[in-house]
Amino acid sequence: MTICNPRHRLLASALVAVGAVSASCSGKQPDREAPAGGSAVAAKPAEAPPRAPGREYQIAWSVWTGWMPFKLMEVKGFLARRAAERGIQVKLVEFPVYMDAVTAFAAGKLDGCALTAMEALQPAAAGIDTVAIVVNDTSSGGDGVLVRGIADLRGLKGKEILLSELSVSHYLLVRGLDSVGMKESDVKIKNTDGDEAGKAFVADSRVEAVTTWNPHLFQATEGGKGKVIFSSKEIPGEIIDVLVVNNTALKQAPVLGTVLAEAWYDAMRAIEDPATREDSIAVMAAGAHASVDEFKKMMGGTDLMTDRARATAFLEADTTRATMERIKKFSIDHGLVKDTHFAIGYGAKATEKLRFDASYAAAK
Amino acid sequence: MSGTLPVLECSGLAQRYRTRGRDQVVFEDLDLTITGHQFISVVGASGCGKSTLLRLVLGSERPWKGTLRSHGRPITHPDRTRGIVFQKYSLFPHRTVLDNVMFGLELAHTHLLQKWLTWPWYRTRHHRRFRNEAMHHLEQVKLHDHADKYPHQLSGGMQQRVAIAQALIMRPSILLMDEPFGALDPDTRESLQRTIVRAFHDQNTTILLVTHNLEEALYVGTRLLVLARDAREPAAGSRIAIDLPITQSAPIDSPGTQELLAHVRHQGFTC
Amino acid sequence: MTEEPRFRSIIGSPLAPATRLLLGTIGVAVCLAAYEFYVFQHQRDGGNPRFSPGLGQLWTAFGELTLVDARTQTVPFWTDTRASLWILAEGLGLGIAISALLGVAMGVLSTVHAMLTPVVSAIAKIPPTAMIALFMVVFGVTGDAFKVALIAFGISPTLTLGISLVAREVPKNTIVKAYSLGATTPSVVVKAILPQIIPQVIQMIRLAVGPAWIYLIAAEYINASQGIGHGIVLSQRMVRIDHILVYVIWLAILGTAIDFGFHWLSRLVAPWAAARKDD
Repeated sequence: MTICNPRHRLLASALVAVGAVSASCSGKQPDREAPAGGSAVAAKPAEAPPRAPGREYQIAWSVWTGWMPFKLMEVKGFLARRAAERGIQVKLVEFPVYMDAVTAFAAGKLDGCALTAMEALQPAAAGIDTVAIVVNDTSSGGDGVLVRGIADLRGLKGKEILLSELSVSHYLLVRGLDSVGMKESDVKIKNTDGDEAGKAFVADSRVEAVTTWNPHLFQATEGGKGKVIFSSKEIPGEIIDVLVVNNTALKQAPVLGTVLAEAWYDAMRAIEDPATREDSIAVMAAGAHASVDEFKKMMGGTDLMTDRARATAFLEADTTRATMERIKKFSIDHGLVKDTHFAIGYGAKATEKLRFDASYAAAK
Repeated sequence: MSGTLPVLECSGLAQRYRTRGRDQVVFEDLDLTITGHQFISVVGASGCGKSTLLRLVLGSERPWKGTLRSHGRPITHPDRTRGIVFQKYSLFPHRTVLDNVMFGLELAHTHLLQKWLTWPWYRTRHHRRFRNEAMHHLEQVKLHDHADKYPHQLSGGMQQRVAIAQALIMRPSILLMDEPFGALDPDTRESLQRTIVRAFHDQNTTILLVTHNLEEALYVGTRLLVLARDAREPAAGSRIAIDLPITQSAPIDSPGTQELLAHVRHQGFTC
Repeated sequence: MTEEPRFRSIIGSPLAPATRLLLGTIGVAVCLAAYEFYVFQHQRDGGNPRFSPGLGQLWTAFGELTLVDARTQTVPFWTDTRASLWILAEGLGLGIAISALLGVAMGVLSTVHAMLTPVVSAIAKIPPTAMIALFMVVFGVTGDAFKVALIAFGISPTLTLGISLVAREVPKNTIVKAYSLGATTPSVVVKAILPQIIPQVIQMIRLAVGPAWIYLIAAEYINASQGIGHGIVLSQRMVRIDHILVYVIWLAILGTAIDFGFHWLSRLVAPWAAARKDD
């Protein structure tokens, strides 16, 4: 059908363009941190409706080195076994797009979610009552500022740097700039998906600076394309990944926390145990769509908290509290959290909307 | 007169159109010579090729065969020496009446770039001169009061008057008119016929007017051309059936005119 | 003195301007009321108010967005608007320039038309959103070049075809007339063809602005340091639906203003066309 009138033709092409954009926006794009249109979801009640015991609890996670043990939990049946022991049903939901998981959790649609400490503030700020029960890992070199033709952080002055705005990459950059007395306004931040930034750096030599994560970091450095001038190695223990659970679900089924913690440390044991280590790594690498060698390298930049005692202590440690204060300040400064009196609680007795409670992770 | 080349010289002119794989012959082997101050009325029923002939003379169409010359030079495309008044869409809708009439003058005297680059100079030197000349021509067609109107604000008859002024201001050696008054009411038509006759006498220009109205042809013209097909040979195309001078003031019901008309029909020529 | 004929037919009966204005206002008011009703219902049924901001909340959100950002000493809402409008203007300008050049060439010269029509028609079928990734690679992700290129690419094919179409539809008599008054071919194009197609071309540009916004926002979503699309992405990151809705309403207002601007431009540049349509 040909349209002869130029006005009708333009109108028709405009309509097609709208359709194409909305179709592409609502589809889930793998490995992209840009939130898709589908995350502006119709709201659910903040309280999960009362359901019969024996309903399935849904825990979201997405592909990241420190969260691959979730895959292990699923594949090796650790989660199923622990859940059956306590008489509840728990299901792991893998989200291709991390931010979609965060938004769904903040909308009250999920019972738990694996988040970075920065995103962990979001659901609480949105009014969801949440508890961080297990610390998965901290980044120790896995996130960094990658540059070409620039000597150090001070050389970033006036340059354009691609990163995922308002994410841990942004936080990392700001920490780095702070460390040399620079301000955020000294650089020109350009928002782009973190993975895209990494890929663009490797592919396009016009890109001077990005903040991204592995594998892009070691792909670039090994290829001689760039160097990392600041990374999470410089700020160990500040980029934290935690498993956060909706408190309403915990009230309905207190054993949920224990089940998840136990299953997690089953996975940790499987990774540490020399007999099962190689197999575990293979499973995780497969789940991450990476080769075993590449995955081992990625693990090198991640401090996976396999030691249960250490992890449990870390959850409520003073250093962690100090880090959370810094993250909170960053979030308030950048408008991520509106409430300047937003407080984070620690310990089982805390009542804040976001609290770190090590009681579930503590070995019983 | 010897030594001056004819205003128009056509010899062996043939035109045909290809429709649905078949050639339709409009005319074959037409000869026509126009010299000096003549007003040629070309008549014929629709489909006789009179408009085709006009377009060939204008240069907007290429003949199948034959030559066309104006002042000895071959006719290849429309140019200044042959003015045209169409039946419809004659004027530029985006220009006022005055600007329409000035159009040709501006083209003749200034190069586009020159006009833009030297606007103040152009304005003082040339523009006023063009304006005055255009207004003069508009007065001749009694439209000077409407100089700043746009074509769509004028009636059909007024638009044709502007078109006539627009063409005549360029002093073409031949003015072509393609059924110019066909879309107008009888009163306006008469008024415009008088206008064109007056213009013909005032300016030493040759006029070729195509019409299907025999009365009109006889009123305005000094020479009558009738294009007709032979009823006995329809596929052979039209020919110039009649080519006679017209005594200007012969009314339609005079014996001479009636004789002429009978002669045409008697020959059996139809269209 | 002639009176307007009094129409008895329902179809297309004319309205007084005051009536039109009143009815239009009522239409907008009904929409706003319907939205408020939805919000009321949603919150009454226990929905999270974050996801259904009422008109009052939207006004507050607008106030928030127009506060001065302490870190940069600017108001992001206005700098974003300025940034987006600037890129839109560049993209439109480039697209119009390309389309005018190609479109007029195609409209005037049959050989160019025959050669380019299949190519341009085919390119017109490509959804520009599919080209985003390619453009990011070709033009680089630094700076705003790829956004400008995307907009220009998005609007050019259709605009080119439209311009060539209207150029070909210019009454042949006016072209022949111009020649018979002594014009050279460039003069015919500039003085006879172009002025006659200007009003229609402005109309087509007006229609192209809508898609141009789409491509701009889509591009800013993915890679930008400022702009309305960037503002929306950040608002989404913060789960501030009220902010997003303010941006959306602002886009509607901006689009309407631009549309009106072109309408006014058309009347200014070609009063003869507008007047002609009125009778």
